[in-house]
Amino acid sequence: MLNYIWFGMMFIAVIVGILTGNIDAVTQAAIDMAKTAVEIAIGLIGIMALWLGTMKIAEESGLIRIIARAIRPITIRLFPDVPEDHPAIGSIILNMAANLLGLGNAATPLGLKAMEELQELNPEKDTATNAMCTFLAINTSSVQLILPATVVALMGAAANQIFITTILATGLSTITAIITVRFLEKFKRFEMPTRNEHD
Amino acid sequence: MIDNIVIFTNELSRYIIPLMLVMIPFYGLVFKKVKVYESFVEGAKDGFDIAVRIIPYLVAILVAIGMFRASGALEILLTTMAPLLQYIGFPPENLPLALMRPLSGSGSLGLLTDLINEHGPDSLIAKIGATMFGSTETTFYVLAVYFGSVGIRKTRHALAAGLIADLVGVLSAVFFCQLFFAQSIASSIHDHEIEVVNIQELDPTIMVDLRYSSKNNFLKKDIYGDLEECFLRKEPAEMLCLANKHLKESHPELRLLVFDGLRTRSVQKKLWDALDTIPLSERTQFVANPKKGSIHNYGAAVDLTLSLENGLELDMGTNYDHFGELAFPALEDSLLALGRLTDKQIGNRRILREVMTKAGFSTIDSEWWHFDAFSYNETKNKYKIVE
Repeated sequence: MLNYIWFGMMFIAVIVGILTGNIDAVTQAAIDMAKTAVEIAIGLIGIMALWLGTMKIAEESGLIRIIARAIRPITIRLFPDVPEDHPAIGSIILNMAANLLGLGNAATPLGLKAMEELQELNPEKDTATNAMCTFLAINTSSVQLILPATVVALMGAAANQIFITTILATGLSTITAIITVRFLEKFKRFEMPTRNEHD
Repeated sequence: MIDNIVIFTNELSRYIIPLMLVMIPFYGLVFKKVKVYESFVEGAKDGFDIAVRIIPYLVAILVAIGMFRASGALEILLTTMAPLLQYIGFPPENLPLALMRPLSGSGSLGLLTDLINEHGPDSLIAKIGATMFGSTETTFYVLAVYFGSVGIRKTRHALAAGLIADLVGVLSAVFFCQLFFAQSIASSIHDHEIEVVNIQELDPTIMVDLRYSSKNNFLKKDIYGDLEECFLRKEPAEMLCLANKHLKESHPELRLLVFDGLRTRSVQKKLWDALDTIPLSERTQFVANPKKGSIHNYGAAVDLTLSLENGLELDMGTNYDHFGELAFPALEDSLLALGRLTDKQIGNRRILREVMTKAGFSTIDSEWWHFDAFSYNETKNKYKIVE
């Protein structure tokens, strides 16, 4: 699916760019964005290091295992394929907690840590597992209890009014995400490929 | 109740990060004798690897999105989809944001900023936009970063699920906002097209000298260009005619001389920028911040003075757009006592104020020439800002 969307966007962009005479802008955007992508990634290094370092302490002190065990009843339903005392569960929980509290800066490194740990359980290293898809869908549906700081800054006093609507909308989208992954993972076209020649 | 929850949660979030950074090593060091410094460094090493690993995935996704936006294809998609969405009750103003949100964080933040500036934070459109922004994520970016970090190329159903969740988030943002803020729907639909009238068509005896259409203003620049007529919304224009009628009754020798009426926000921005020598906090006394918008921008405020029939202006103590306390109606008594204004000048201002307030206009404290037809909030509910 991503293959088609990715190619489709660039293909349409070039066609439309030629027809509307915006082709120079298309070229420029491609170059600029390639640069932006690297800048974003480089910008992540410091903050990633900070959180991954802290996470390592939490891991070695057994803190993550304690948290993971406490919230097991929920995670076992969301991620049935992940062993209940696997470190991935701890990272997933912390990532969700950071998301809930609107701590985007902390959520990403914790999420990437979780991905790394989920990858350990993955027999096909280039293919997403069910647990990974569930985790990603929950992340993209943006579970949060706190309005993003940017929204508060822009809306001023009116921010208080949209607190409830945001929670309701984000709650619905998260529930949808969980139901949808459960539903889609059973489809033949999204099936996990069976192991073949490459190990 | 809700206010308190919001304050509490936002307050809480300020402390979470520093507390986590301190409490986690504290627990490890004190209870488990972990070598916290060493394990921090050990874990932090991975930061670089992960960041570098996501670069190819980010490049692929961001380049495709950037090209799609720059080509104008996104706009074409929007214009074709707008009528369809309007049909199901989805406000077309919010469509660009809904489509941009899964693609680009900075792009959608820009669109949200525009929406809030244009419609005001209290408008339904802005509330829907902000709710949408808060309840969805930049799905493509998250996908590229999360899967990229572990080298996953086959994403299976993740993207489909993410996009379906975004769709539900966007639709429920519209649904819940309309449910909760139904009151403001009426006011935002109320005025979609801009209906203004030329005040001289309504009453030719009102004199007009658009100062921003000449070099006779504080900028010494002609900002309006060819525009020579003064426009107002219908109701304020009718109020102005009424004021003119009162003036004819009390002072038949005098005329209303209008300097400015409807002023677009782009002009407002120029005025605002021209006064950048005045600190922000004081500048709003003289020019409204274009972000918030002046009542002029809605076509419901008028700047004017009194003149004789031959166009000779009455002495009001200062020129139009004199930015300083001499122009403050609020300080007239003390300025008179100090001898900086004369009885005659204040008397002239009073004649103007009397006919204007009798017709329903209200005054402001810092400019003798400025009159508002409605309060800021009332104006905002009644009309849309004119860009």
